[in-house]
Amino acid sequence: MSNLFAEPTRQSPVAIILLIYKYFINIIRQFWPAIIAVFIGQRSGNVSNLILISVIVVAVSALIFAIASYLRFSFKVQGDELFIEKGVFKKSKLNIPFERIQTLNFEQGLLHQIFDVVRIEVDTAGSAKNEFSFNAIQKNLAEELRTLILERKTEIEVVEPSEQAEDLPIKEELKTIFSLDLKDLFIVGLTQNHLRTLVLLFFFALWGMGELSDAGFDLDWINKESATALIESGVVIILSLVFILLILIILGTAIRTILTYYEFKMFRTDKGFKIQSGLLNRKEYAALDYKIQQIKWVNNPLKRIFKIHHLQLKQASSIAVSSKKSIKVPGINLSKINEIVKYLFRDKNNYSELETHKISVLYLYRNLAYIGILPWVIIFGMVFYITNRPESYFILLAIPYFSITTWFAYRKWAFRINDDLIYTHHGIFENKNNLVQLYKIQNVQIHQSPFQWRRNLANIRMFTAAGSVLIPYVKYEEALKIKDLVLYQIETNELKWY
Amino acid sequence: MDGFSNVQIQLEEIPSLGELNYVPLERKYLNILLLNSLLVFIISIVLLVYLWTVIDKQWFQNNFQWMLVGLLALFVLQFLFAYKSFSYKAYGFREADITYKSGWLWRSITTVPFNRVQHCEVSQGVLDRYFGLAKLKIFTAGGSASDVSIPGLLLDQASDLKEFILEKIKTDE
Repeated sequence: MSNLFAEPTRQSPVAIILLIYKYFINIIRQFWPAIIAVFIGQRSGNVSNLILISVIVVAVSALIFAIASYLRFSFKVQGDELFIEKGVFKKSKLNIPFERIQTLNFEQGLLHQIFDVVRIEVDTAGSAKNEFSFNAIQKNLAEELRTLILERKTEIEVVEPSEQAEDLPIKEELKTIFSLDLKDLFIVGLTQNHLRTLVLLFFFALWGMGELSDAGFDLDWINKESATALIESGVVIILSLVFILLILIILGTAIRTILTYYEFKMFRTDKGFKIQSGLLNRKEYAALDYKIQQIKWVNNPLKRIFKIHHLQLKQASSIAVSSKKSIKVPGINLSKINEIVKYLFRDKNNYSELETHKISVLYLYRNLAYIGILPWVIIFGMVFYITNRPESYFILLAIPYFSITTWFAYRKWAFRINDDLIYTHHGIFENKNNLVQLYKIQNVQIHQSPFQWRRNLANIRMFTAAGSVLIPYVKYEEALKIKDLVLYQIETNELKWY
Repeated sequence: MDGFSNVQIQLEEIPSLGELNYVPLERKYLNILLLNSLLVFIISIVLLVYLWTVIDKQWFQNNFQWMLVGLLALFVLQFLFAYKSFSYKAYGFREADITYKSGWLWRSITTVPFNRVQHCEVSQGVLDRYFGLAKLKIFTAGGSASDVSIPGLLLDQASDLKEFILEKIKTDE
């Protein structure tokens, strides 16, 4: 095959625009309180020139930087390596051997789609230093590059037959195993945890107000009088405000869900999975079977109505566990999940047929005392002692709430284990399911608090390369047994785990 | 809880961790632990006395002796804690893994199989160097919360253990 990339090649000039955008966003992100402060201060004098000058300086320097880094960036293919030169002030050269490249992920934002370019993320097996991305490369060129790398890569790997072929040429025919249409997406958007968004928004608003008043905003009108006025104007108004906000949040989430997961498709490749999704920003991610460390699926009361789950296939990553490395599948039902699990476990095991174990009931008693009751009694006591106001009794309302959630948590805790896998199920309002192949575990920890060792109980935690699995309040002897079983599986298994 | 019957049978062939003989840490390491808490104590006393000379508040001046007593009580507790927890720190080797346990009140046992070790490191602090001790750190892909570090080893011992583990990793590959 002829080498299109023998000579140093630059990215598409579109990269300049993207870089300017990136720098601008970065600058604004760093200095936004200052920027707002400058705008506020405008009234108090002759600052408008200053603003104009600083805007021009920022814009020009972003432009110069973008052009310089575009000109300084080049890549070529040399032998069996991808060779990259970059850096404006500090020149750096990067060699990425093909056999180290795990996958090339393509991504297209709106701008990318207009100019028919793609962003490439090169995912390597090595350290974070070698993770690498191209900002914008012409699409046909990018595809050329991908085929070139993957072909060379398989050639190398044929020489060493012991190595598994790591990735496949993408052109191979793929089997669609799961897809979402607009109706599914709407349900997914509808059933997100909107209350959490509301609470987050509330705290964000509080934080933002702090920031803004730091920046010199006049926020005094929000204080006491306006607040009491608001409360006096009636619970109805507050409730309807919350209601409107909730509707807005639901709409927003629905739109966001549709944007991110539009035309979601999941494929089964020879040795892994691949997903494609997105409306404005079309993304494509791949995960190989042996890199998947944990299989997680969650539902909430709303999702339960529609019998759907949110599935995550968590991958081992060279960088510390990042959400980007896991494949997310929204709105998937249990039978589809079991199908995917079957692919991964090669039909060997059915976790759902194993015997279910519960955790010790002392988990309930202990948490009832220490989460459900004691802290609230103490807080109530202190508040009542200090303020001596009858409103303090409201604090005691926390007791039934936290007692009930503790009871839910205890009731839901369950796990299943055999000599291939461990499955845990827990949650309070949600149902969190977690499935791990034993040989994917890195190490095992047993913890005992004074309460636990006096009653011969223990927590056992198993770490994988993508997060850990915890089982609380099992008998100490059982924890030891689980630990030895897991260790035995790790130590006798020679399957590749990363 | 009556479970595990199916697992139990298979487990009988598996070497149980119970057979593992734990090796206590070097006695000299206790000195380091105690010295460390003494050092913290001295620094906080110095800090308190310094504050006493600077802060000119009545309540601070009046209660100064009680603060000293409180600090002393904390120190005694910390000293006892260090002394007590030392005897709970130990490590043990099996053919295919290494285990480290610690904690007097909050106990933990961590086991790392050799075929999951990413790399090892021997490190020495200032006090370690004075006593000729070292710390062996073992890293896995499980993240920093799961990495094991075994303090209070003789320097030679620590390097030998490191060599031993690295050798194990090599033969696995």
